[in-house]
Amino acid sequence: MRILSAFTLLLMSCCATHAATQQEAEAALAAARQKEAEAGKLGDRWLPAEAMLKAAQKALEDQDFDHALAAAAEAQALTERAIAQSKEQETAWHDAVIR
Amino acid sequence: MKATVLLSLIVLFGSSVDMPSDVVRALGAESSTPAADMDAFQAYFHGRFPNVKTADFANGPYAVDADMRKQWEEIMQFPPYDFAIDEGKTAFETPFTNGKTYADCFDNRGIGVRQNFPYFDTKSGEVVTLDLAINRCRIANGEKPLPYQVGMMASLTAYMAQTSNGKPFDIKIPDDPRAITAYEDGKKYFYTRRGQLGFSCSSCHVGASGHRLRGDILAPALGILASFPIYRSDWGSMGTIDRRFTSCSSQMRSQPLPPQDVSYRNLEYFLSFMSNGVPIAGPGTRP
Amino acid sequence: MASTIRIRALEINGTVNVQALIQHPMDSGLVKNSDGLLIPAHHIETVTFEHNNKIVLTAFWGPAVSKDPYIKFSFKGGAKGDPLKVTWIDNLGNTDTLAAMIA
Repeated sequence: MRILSAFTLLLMSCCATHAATQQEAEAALAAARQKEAEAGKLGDRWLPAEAMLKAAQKALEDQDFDHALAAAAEAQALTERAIAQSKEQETAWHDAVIR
Repeated sequence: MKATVLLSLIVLFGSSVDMPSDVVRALGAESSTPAADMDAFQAYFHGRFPNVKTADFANGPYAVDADMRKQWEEIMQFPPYDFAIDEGKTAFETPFTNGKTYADCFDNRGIGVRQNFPYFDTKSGEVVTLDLAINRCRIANGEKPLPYQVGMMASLTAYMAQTSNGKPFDIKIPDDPRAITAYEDGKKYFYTRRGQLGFSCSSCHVGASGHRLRGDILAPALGILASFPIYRSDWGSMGTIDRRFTSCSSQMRSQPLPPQDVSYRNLEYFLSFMSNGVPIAGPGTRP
Repeated sequence: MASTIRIRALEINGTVNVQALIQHPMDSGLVKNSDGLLIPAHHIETVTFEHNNKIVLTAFWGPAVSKDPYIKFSFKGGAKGDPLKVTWIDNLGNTDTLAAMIA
């Protein structure tokens, strides 16, 4: 049992450095796009996130799935920060008001 | 703390609970009136810049920096927007294909009316800016709307602004909850941080006004729209309020909204109301 | 058709201070439009200012001068009421001229 789990761990660690597949890249891009749409509804899409989505799309078309995955992940991370900022600002804006 | 708890309750149950509108508003907005907001806003800038007269706030960075003012006075000997005013005047006076003119769409034949824009149109329930009114006039008379931000729209508004020179901003908020909502929306936009840079309009144009942002001096928000449209040396051409709003959004690394988007119009409504009493000094020239 | 030249010439104690604003695209020929195509060079090459039919200033402009250029200079020997003529010629052979008076 212990040998089996160690072997599984070894297998998993070697898989973490494998090249991204087309499915992985497409899934990441789709997820990032969905997050972007959420940010759009809140009224603040970040330009670098949009640029990363475009880069991911281009990399996908160029069959460069590693770059596509990385760009999609970057877009996702940026968009999550955009959403967090929008949500925080829903109430935080009051602090800036001149009284 | 109480507000946060109540707000989260509204978020959870808002769709099913019928909250009284004034309670919702008090929780979601400042519990002050637009008039009180305006007094506080103007008092702040008069306090920050005690030697600047109300009328001078229309000149933005030139009102708060002596060196910039000197350069501006040189430029003003031959204002770069002169050509736009001429082009705008000719266009304003040229009839549409159906024989009518812009004068038929505006009060006082469109002369000396810039200070009344934007206004809240109670019929359509939205804020109407001068640019929007110009295009609605065109559409109503069978003409194609003009692109916003540049070109003929800038020239027409340059001419109309010029006819209002010296007239103080006279923005009204009618006794209509939709007008208050539009005002509050514009106010919220002004103070909300956005974009990857996470700045709000107030970040630069309130606390940092009069200070440098790279090579530029930041204009105070009071009177900031009074000189529009502007010939901006940076652009090498004329630009309207939309041009500045969209480029500001981009500079914050936030996706610009389309020109005349409801948020931009509400923002213009808020900013103009805050500047009531500051005279129109348009068109203007900026670095 | 309105002139592309606006001029103001003021005489003070024998010195004439001249300012002129000229409407011209001043395309350098190095800038691309939104379709990625080069905007052809279209800029003023020479501007001459004549006082009493004598040239007091010749300016040699080119791609480095910005759109709608403004020029300011002074010269001695002019008097109120004297004629002042401005002429520009661009690289495409277009030209415009304006006859003004020193104030």
